[in-house]
Amino acid sequence: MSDAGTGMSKFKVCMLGAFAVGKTSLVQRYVHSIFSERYQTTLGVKIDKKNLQLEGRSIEFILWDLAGEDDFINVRSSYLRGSAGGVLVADGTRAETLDIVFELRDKLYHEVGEVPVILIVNKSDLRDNWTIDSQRLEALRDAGWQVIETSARDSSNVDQAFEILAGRLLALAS
Amino acid sequence: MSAYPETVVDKILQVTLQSNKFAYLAIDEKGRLVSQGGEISATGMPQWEPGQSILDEALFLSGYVPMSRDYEFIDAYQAGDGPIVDIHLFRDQEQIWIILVDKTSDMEWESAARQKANELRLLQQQTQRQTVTSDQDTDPHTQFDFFESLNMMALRANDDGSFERLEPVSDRFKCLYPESAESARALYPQRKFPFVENFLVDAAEVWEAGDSERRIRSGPWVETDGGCEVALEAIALYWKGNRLLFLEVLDESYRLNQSFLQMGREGVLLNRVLEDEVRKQTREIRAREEEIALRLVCAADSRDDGETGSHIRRLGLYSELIAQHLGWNDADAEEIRIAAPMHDIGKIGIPDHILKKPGQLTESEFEIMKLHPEIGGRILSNSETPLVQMARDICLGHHEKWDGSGYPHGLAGEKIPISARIVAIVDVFDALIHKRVYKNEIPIDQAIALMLEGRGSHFDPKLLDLFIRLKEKMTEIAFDYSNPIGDDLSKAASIIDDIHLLRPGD
Repeated sequence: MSDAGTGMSKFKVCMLGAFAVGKTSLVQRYVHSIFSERYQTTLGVKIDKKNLQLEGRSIEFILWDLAGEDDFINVRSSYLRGSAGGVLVADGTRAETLDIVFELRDKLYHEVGEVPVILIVNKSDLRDNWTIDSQRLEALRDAGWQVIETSARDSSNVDQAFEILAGRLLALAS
Repeated sequence: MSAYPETVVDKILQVTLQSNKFAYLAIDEKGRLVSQGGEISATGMPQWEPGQSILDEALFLSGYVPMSRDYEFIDAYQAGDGPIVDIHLFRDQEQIWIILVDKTSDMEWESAARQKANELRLLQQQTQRQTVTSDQDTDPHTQFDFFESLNMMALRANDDGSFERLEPVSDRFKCLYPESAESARALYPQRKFPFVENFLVDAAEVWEAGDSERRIRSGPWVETDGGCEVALEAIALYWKGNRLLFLEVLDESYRLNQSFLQMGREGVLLNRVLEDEVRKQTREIRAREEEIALRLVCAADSRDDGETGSHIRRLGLYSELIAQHLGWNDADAEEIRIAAPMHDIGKIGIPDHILKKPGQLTESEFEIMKLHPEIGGRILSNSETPLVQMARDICLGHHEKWDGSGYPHGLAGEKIPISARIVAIVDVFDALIHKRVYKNEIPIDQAIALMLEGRGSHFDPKLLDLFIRLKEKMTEIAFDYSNPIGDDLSKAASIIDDIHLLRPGD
């Protein structure tokens, strides 16, 4: 989606994942360059915008940070409408959050088709406590997944992750 | 009038005559004109000729002439579109007097006053309706004032995609959505809030259905307003032809729901941390148990040149693999991995000259050797620990045979504990495919062929079939664990040997 007036490409991107995997923290780190140690659950949707330049082109991400999926809350399909891409987030210290990612990807695909997605495995600063083993992630990479290991706390790979997605969205749009 | 001085009466007449138009008529008892005067045309009366009957045209006289009373008054009479007049009738002995007083200007003023009064009354009624918010009212503009106090903005959708704000809007919205402060302005909340743009798709369904019973809520969303987060919710409904959209600032209700959710999720996370800690501690305890068991078993078996640390380790792994494929739970499968290596612990009670004899045992020596299952059983008896109980079953039963020809008790079939039936298979398999001081190893296929000869006689047939189906994985264990902890255990064994050597007379 491109704004004819400004030449800026706008993309709605949904942040999807189980609760407490760090979706909001990733957005806060990426958009505002801040991180809070305190876990603050998201109720509903938080919408943020981020402008960036990539390959000489202007991009506006409209980031929909959706409440994490769990026994209490299910992601509403209507929130996914119009998404150009998805950021699927798992917590490296909680292996079960990877299973939820697959369910949410299917939900996203069902709503908007097979749009570009990336898989962020967050909390790389706690790698000693990871329960998602590297073999599993390698298997996912072999299967074509774009897997990026990040830390919202120390900011490692956060910008790169979003830029990878931006690149894929631009490639698809052009 | 006599009560008033003539000067005063004259003045009253002067003022009255100047401000009102008058005419008079005098008629006889039969209604014929006697005389007339004043501004006849200004009172809307035609010009009559003296002697002419006026009863046919002066309809206001109908019923009054002939007069039965001395005085009659007709208030605000109007013929067609003519002037409005007050009519006074009175009679004397000869004729009837008719006085006409033009009241048109008075009535116009009164009408205007009446109009104002009615308008005020309507305004008053309207205000009352707004307060009560009756469902019978139809003008949305009069309905939504109270939303200001609810921190809610009411909008009506127009056909061109814009929205009309229904008064008034609260200060919160003026800050969050400054455009909404201008009352006449067409608003596009869908451009301001991407969330609303998305929600309008769902709202359109409700509006198109035209069902006032249906309404849809968006669920909460959060906007950032000058660094502060503001939680909002959108509601769409159709009402008396109006497509309405409400935007509500949630404030306290959002924070309350958020804190409930937060508590629930923190509870889940805490439980998970505790479960992980328990699992970790259990694993550590189990690992310690396993290490102690293996080292003790190794120490006991060190007197038997035929056994090695690697052998007992492999035995545990083969057994665990079979248990897993039998559908045992993880804890039970782990237990057999630890218990299986203890199968020959009773050999600790067999004299060295028999245990270490390089050649074939005599019948009496073999009878002594056959005591090791029961010795092991006794060592491991009277325990309430499931792991030790399983080890005892294995010690006692691993030389029993499916057809009942084994020892020490000649148990048959499923009377032999399943853990012992499993170990019976893997013990023979591992002994056949590995070299011992008294024999060479044989290839795996040959070993399996030999074991198949004992299917249904020596070995549980179903378990043997499962074992053969797992041949590839068994082979992996046989080679991958040729010496996994063997080094450590061999060291322990050699230390034990050294102790034996140091003990005089042993």
